[in-house]
Amino acid sequence: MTPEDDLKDEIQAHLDLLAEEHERRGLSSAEARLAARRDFGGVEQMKEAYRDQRGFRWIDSLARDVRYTIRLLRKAPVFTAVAVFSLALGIGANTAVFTLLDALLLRTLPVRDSHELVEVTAQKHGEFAMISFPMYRDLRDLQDVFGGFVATAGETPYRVTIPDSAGSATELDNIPVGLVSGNYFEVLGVPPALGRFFTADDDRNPHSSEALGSVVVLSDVFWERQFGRDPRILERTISIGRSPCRVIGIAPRGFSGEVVGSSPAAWVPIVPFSSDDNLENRRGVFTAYMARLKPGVDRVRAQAAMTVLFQQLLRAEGRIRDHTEDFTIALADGATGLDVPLRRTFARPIRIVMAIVAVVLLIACANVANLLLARGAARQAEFGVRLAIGCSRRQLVAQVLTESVILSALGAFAGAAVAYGGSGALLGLISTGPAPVALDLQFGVRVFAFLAVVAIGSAVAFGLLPALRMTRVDPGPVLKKSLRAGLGGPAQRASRSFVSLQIALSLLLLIGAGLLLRSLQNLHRLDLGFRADSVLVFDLAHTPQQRDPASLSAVGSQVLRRIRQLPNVESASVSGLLLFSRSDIGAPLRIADYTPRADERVTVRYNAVSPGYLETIGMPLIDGRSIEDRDAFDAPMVAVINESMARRYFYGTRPIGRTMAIDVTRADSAPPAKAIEIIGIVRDARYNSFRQDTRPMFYVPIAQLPRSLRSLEVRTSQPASAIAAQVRQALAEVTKDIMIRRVLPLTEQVDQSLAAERLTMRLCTFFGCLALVLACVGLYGVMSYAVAQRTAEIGVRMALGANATAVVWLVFRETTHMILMGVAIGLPLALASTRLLSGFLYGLTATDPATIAIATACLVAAAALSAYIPARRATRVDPLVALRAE
Amino acid sequence: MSAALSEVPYGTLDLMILKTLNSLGAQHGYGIARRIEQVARGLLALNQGTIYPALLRLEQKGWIGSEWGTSENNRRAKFYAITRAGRKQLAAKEESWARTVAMVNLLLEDHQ
Repeated sequence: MTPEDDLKDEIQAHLDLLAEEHERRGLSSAEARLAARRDFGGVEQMKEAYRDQRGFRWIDSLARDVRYTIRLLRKAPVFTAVAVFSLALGIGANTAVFTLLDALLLRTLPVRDSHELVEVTAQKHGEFAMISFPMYRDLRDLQDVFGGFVATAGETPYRVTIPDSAGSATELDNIPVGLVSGNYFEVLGVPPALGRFFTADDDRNPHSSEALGSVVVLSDVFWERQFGRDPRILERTISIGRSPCRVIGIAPRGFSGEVVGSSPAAWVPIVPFSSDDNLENRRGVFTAYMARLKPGVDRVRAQAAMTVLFQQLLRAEGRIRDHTEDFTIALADGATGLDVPLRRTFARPIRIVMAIVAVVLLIACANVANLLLARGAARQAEFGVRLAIGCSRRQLVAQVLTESVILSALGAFAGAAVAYGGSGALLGLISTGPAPVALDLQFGVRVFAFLAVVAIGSAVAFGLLPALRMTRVDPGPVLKKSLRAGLGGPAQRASRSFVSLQIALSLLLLIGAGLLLRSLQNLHRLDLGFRADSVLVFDLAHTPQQRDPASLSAVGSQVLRRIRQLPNVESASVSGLLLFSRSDIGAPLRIADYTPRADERVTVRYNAVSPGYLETIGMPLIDGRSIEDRDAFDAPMVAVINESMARRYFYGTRPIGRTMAIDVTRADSAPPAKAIEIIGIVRDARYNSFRQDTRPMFYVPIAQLPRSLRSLEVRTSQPASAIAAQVRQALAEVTKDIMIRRVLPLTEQVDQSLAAERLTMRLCTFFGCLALVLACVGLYGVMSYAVAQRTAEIGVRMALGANATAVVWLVFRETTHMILMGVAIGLPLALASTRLLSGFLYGLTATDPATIAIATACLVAAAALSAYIPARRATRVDPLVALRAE
Repeated sequence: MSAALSEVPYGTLDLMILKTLNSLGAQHGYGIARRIEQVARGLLALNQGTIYPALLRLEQKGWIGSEWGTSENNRRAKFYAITRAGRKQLAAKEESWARTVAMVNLLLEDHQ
């Protein structure tokens, strides 16, 4: 039975009763029916009205409220502008941070069925464990839970040479190229935009790319930038490093690999580009892995199956002899790509920043709420009249809430613009790293949904309480009283609570900012153990054609000779490891006269450096001598150790003259078995991180353990721009196999390791100050209003002889109460929540009393000043004017 | 003078319906319309059908409730009754109406 049928029944019953009534009065049945129809009125018209009432009641009253609200807002342009501006800042900032969060953590890869993808890692007791490349191959061939199993060696910068038809060639340095297994594109489910992708056939012949050539797939961006989307790109050959590669396909637009934040220009198969050493090494790992679950297989089952297989293969491999059951395979959700340093570094800071901007939004909402309350005072009379003529309180509240929602909507529109600019700025802040962060900031469904939720949430937050307070009006007294009534008692209390809340939240942010600031100061005051100023560091990519020790050693010394000839170079050196680059090499050692404990494995970090290294970076020698030219390739092997190593392995004796050797039984490659004499001790230093305590470390001459060059250090007073070109040319004169990835001052290289801390500190400080400004504006507004209300009272007091100080104190009493409440709420809140920052702090606890005291003092001073200005104005009240205004 | 009931503003019709239901208890549409006409003592000629949108509105606001039953002539008819919220509304409306009348009276007196 539809409502239409129901209504028909009702109408029919009514008509029949009317007809009966007329019949009783003597009309015939036909006449009675006519009369009934007349009495009833137009049936169709009524049905229309009925349908309207049923369907459009909501829309009708909503439309009415919206029109009315827009009229109201246009009549108060200053109020509207201030409210919308505050909201735009708050909503925009939140959306900006969310956009970044979305791009970094939430967005799924643009591949087929991304929910089926998993990242494959191994663990031992929850700690990282290795899956070597040969192990990966075994797993791939024997497993049956994956539809496909992919290896990727990440991005490597290459020199790309593009020959043109005229016979010359364009050389591009530092082009990121991804090395991936042959099934990469197929397993990810990405269709080629042009041409084809790799097959298993393309991914064989280890280390053959230079000799036999290879194939390459270009990214859409690279194709556009370098080739102008020329469709004849296929079958052209470009050189990746020294390998000629046929271009076989173009990746679709929007695909930028499996790693968030990186965007390879091209992909090549991993096997032709990797050495036998890497591909067959079961003791090392240079790849990461992803897989696609077979349809119907869930992750838990797959994980269990893979773990069993892994343990079996470990036993068969023979490298791990016992406790193979401690090893497991872990499958993590791969829909958003691999978990990489960028994400790990910035995931927490961004979450903290989200919390910070949420607090700023709350403060902005409190300001708007106070504005609404203040305006509500002016509208008390209007509300009284409307209630008197029959408007229900619910309708009144609805109208005020409409105002909130419209203000919020306007704020959201303006906020979208803030978000657009802000997210770009944020991305710029986190891009202060080794490579520019290629995050694609998209304003997709999630971001807009977030914007909408935040806007609505804000509307409720700042609109509901004022709406309820303002409409709690008893119409009688309001109509009788003079219209200058002003804020009622409960509204005033609400207003004061909002200000106290703002003060509390601002205190929270200020304390956070203060803690982070002082942490960074502490970190910067640390003695790094070397003199980083005036040193330029060149991050090198060295792919030597001849890898025999003599050739490598020769390259190193030639480079050094050329560089030292350059003007303004005080000293220079090359080394195999770059400071503060998170790279590490350790060597298993057997140290004479040192017996390791039963469970101890002596593996010590080391760096292969040229003569002059310690002098160039300013690491002071404490005993013995440094590495010199005479420590050549065929000379007796020597090493310089640091204090920690001396303490650990040579305690109580003088290490100079003692010997050690690389433990061949545990080494990966075939190292020299010769004894290494210790010739010097150097002061401890921090090599990779500010926070890490120094560990044992030793330096060997790069001539004696030749390897490809990773870093060139130059001590010079010149800035990088002045000297980089000369260095590049000098290197090119020695060999074409070295490519400069980056050049930057060592101080900057060191600071980059604190990127997350610095980002959080900068944003916390910025938003903390913004919050304080908003809170002070709020306080100023409320106090101004309070003073205006009490003008008459002040006038009377001054007429009776009160001096300026007394008046100021009168006003200040109220302010003091608000500030005290704010601090009383804010301090415990801060103590509870600064715990979140503990990972970023250094040298002080999350509840450091000095910082809290300073932050509180700043806040109280700023708040007092904001309240002082209206208080001073109060003293200038002319008593006569004030009394007359009553 | 008589005015078609559809010219009387919403508020007044609602008041009359609520008052009727309060006095008579549960009634169907015909009964309510009849009673209003009776009480208005010929000052109103009612297009009786127009109470149905009003009844729907009152039911939407929760001031009256409805139930299906059988009318005196054995037809299926909807019976309406006032709710507690409706009774509160009635009291409030009666009070505010009285105040409005008093205020208008004062204004009129002042100008004489």
